[in-house]
Amino acid sequence: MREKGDGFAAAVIAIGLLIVAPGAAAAGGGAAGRAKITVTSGGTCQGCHLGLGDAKLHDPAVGFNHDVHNRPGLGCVACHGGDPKAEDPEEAMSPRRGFRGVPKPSQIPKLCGSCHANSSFIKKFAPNLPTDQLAQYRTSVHGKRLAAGDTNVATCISCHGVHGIRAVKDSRSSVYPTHVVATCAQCHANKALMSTYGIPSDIVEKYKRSVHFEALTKKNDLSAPTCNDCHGSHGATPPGVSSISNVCGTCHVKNMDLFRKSPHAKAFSEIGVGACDGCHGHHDVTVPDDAKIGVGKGTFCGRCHDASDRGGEAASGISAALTLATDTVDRARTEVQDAERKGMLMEKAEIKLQESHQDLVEARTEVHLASVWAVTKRANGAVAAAKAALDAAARARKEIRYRRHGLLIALALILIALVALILKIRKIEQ
Amino acid sequence: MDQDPKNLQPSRRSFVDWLLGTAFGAVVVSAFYPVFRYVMPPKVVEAQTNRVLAGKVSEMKPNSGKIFRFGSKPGILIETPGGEIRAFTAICTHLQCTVQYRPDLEQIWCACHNGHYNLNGINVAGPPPRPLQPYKVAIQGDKIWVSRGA
Amino acid sequence: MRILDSLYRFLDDRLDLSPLIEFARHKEVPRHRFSWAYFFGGLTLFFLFVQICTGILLLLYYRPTAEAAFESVQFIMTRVTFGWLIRSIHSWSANLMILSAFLHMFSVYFMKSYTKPREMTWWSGFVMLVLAMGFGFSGYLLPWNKLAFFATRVGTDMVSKVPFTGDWLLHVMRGGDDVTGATLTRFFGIHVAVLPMLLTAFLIMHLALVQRQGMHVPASLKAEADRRPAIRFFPNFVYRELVVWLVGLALLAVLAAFFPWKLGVKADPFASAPAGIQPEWYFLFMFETLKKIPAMVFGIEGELLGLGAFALGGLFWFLIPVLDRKSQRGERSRLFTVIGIVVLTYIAGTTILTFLGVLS
Repeated sequence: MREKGDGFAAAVIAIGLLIVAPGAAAAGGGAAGRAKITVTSGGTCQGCHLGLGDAKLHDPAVGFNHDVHNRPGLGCVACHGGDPKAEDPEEAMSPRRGFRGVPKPSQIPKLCGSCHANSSFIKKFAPNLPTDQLAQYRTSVHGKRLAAGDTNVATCISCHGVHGIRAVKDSRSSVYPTHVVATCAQCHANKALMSTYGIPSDIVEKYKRSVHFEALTKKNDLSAPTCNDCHGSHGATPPGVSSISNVCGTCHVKNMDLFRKSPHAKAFSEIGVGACDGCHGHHDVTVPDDAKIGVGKGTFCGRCHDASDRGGEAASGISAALTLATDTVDRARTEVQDAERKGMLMEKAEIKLQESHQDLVEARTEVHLASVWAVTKRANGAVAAAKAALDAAARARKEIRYRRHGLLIALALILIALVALILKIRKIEQ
Repeated sequence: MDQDPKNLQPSRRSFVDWLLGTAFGAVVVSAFYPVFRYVMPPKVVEAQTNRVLAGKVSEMKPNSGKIFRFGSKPGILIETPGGEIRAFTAICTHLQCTVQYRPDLEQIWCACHNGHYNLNGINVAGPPPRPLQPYKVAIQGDKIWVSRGA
Repeated sequence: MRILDSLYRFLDDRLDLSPLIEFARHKEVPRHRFSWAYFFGGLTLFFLFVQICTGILLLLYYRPTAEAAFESVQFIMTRVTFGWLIRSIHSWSANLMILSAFLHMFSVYFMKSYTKPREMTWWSGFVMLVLAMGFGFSGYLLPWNKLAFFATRVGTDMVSKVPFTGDWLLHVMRGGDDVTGATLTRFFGIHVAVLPMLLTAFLIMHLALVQRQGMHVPASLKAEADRRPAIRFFPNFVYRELVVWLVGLALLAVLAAFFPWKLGVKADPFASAPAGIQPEWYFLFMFETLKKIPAMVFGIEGELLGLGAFALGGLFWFLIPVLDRKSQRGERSRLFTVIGIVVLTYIAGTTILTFLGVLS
């Protein structure tokens, strides 16, 4: 602790020097004169390293310029130790001055944790930042394997990067929601690496087919789940079969509630099938359609039920109710749109369509209760509203017919007038 | 049949004149009929604008909400427990269901997938990805006027 | 009939109508292969008449503010009995009027009817065409829908390219720095007051000149026109013109009933511009040309160059009666026929190709 405290004092002084007399530091640094340096907390470390030709030694000094840790009181020394105000490299990087060099992977969690798990220290920089990451990491599969001596696993820097770490909320960060998949994919899509652990490497591809990935990337819905939303970030662990409904249920609350009240809740746990993924799968969760319900081929229900058992009957009943509602709503939408294309304004029909849409969405949610009655009640509501929209469309068609008839009459009159005119012209010119 | 063509001439001419006059009269009438109907004031005498009468202050009580129509879209009018009146679009940003007010939660709630919005329309729980779009509320006596663009 | 007779006598006593009647009785329209071209002017007049009637009717319900314009047009289209018909006819008739004005102009051009003494007729006609396009441009914005809003933004932006005074002109035209409700009010005033007043003045002049000078017969058709008996203006030509008008009316009715003019969605000044913004078809040839010119040509801004070229082209077209010396001398003027064909092909070609989606 004492040594670290000294490092800090040194860093603070170094910054003070740089701010007060940047010219002096540049002149003294020798190599620093060649590269333009911004005033940073890097001290003479950055001054020298920016001037080095070896990319391995040069690039960290560049990257650190936009690192979230590049601020007064932190700096290279915070991780690497050494003396940032010493101008002689030998002196600056001597173990006597606390220089640690490049930390080994196994040391990294503890190194980061020395600040990030220290709540009284973090409070000085980012009071709202949690400090449980290290504790969480130790419970993760990554953390456990690292403790067991496996250095292939992810540590802090595998995901957050190093020398250029950005805040999680920064959209350029490697752990920003839209970048998480690519970050995890560095290892988890690596077939050779994953095969040594006996875990599949196709999960990234599967996830990219999911409705969640689409919501995240196409609709830019940052609340849509990416890897860490289900697996946890620092405590990354696959959720167990029993906890999966809790995980999905954090967002899909209603579906989870209904499912828990359904006869399936008990049955699924008895046969060891996950509550949600039993039907929907997990990484490649796609938008389910009504065709997945029923007992035929390719249906979810058909995996356990056939047409003869009670569950199969219920599935057929639900399927029939949903199909009728979906067809009616679709037909109503087509007809209303058709009337709109013909120039009719269908405001009231639009309201009814919205109602029918709502009922249909709710009917589909009720499917999780596996009750024919509950689904049919909602589906009937959707059908009723859609029929009202269909009536409006029929009225619009009638109005269009009325207009066309009026047009025909007007055209007939114009035609008669034309004939009369031509007769008249011929008459007077005879 | 044996009529003198000279006698026939005037009648034929007058038939053409009659036809011409009648047909033109009919065309004019058919053109003026829509015009006449157009000039007659319609049942709803004014165009709905960006502003709608969403409700009355006397109907509302603290910690309650009601749905109103804004054009072809539903809107929700709420009175917060603190007595402030606010209005939002009532279309859930998740799957476009119509939201409602839940006095027990003191939140705006979507029944379809249990989406929750706070009293500022911000999505706070459940699947909704975005906040509800707020409307501008103006109170004129007892009338609550809601307009777009808060 | 007796009432009509006495009414005529009453007016004749006070206004001395007989010379006018005498003039109408003797007025004749030459008969030749291209006599049909004489009907386009009258057809344009008919569509203008329809525009005035339907325009006045629309004023009963329209409201020229950013808040209410779209809603009031929507109101006309849905709630007002036959409102859809009136608005559709107004929109279609506007387009047909410009089309018919173009046909009238080109027929006059190719018959070289602009030669002495009819230069002023050509000039007044030219001004009226510009006014008609102004009607179209200002009227396009009035429903305050998305497409019109952005098309107006792009259209008015061209003004800013005018050297020196461009920004000022843009500011005045838009009634501010951007297209807003202020622009709408401005355009409304121009559409229903300024342009109608100007058009009326030029129309009276144009018609008076046509009556005073009679119909022009091109040199190449003189022999034929002399050989064949002329058409008496009243009633023979009038009846024929009525046939054309009735056909125009029928066309309007069919278009309005089968292709009601779309309203689109309300303009949102803060929304991003939609894809495929296009002005009305009669501006397309200019719009597409300006799009095709590179950003910089010989160090001059491409758009400025294009606009300058169109301004010069317009001036050239205006001055045709002065420039075409051969026609003025009564000789055949091949050069100007070729120029006319090139211009017509260019305008029609670009417009049609844009509609077919070849240019875009």
